[in-house]
Amino acid sequence: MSLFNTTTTTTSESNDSASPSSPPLVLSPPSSSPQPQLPSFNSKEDVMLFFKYYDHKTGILPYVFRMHLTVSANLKSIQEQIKKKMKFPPGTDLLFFEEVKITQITPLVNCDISLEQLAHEQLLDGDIYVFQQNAIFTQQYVHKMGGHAVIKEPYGNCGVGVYTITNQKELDDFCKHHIIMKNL
Amino acid sequence: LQTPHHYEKFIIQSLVGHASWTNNKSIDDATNDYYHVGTIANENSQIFAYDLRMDATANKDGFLPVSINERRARKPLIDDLSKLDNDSASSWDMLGTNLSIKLDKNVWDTESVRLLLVDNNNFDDLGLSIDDLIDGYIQTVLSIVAIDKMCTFLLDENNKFKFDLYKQLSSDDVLFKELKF
Repeated sequence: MSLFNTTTTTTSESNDSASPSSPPLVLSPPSSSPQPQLPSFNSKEDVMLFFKYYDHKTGILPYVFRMHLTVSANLKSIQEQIKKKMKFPPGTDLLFFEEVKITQITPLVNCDISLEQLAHEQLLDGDIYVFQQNAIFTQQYVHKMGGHAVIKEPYGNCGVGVYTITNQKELDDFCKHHIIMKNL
Repeated sequence: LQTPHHYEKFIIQSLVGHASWTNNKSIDDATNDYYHVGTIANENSQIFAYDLRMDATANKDGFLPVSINERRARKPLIDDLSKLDNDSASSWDMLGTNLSIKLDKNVWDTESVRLLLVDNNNFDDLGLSIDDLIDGYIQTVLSIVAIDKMCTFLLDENNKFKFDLYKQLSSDDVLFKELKF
């Protein structure tokens, strides 16, 4: 039964049919404006996922929300929705993880494939994804430098911890590898 | 890229590459870039990126040059980066001049074949003049002075390290904890 389509009764009608000892039943008159409704949900094509935002600076999960998505959506498109929702600055890069269980967090590095393909075993309603801002913002800085840069770790020396970036592939390889290593 | 890291931040600096690598830059920006002149071209018209290391020492009488050596990259410097777009190629091979190779944890080897000496065999290939060497020596001395001043700046009147100041300058908690403990 829909709460929003319940037949309503005016105050006077309710009082007429009620016994003198009964308290008056007061109902609101029907509104002429459209009533709010939950978005339509296709159980085969849509999925409802929970997203947790991990703040890497404080080490806490300050924000949790749900999203209704199509199973064909990919992380690249979801990232844009989340950035808008969270009011992150343009150019912010997000890292995604699937919370398989509380002690098992799996990095999700392929942003181009569908959620269905990306899922650990099977994509289910209520799956939990965790995301955080990419703490190093490497891509933004490298792009500012025209796509060419040298990236060094503190104490990087002897060719270890020093990376030359001259194209998008090298930048992607760097980010993917370091994101995984940092978060495992 | 197979090296784990655990610091929170990276140092990102501009790349010194080939003169034709002006990717996504305006002409004004690109003209301010440094680029590798490289070695004198070999018989295959290939040039190699190399660096020159000049060591200097100092005593109460001032600075003195000690030694010079150079190292070249593994592969020749190419002018067209699109040739790198395959899985086997890496710009590091063209630009990385470090001779050390990490074989395993705490196990290193040295590719001494890429070491260039200031002798009759190698020096002519570098295309350097005495003016370049003087320029390198002046830069070395100025760098030593700058580093020395910075170190002094990070010490208080009791010669204790100013951890609070350093934390403001470098907000990498992991690095900071390593220094403090």
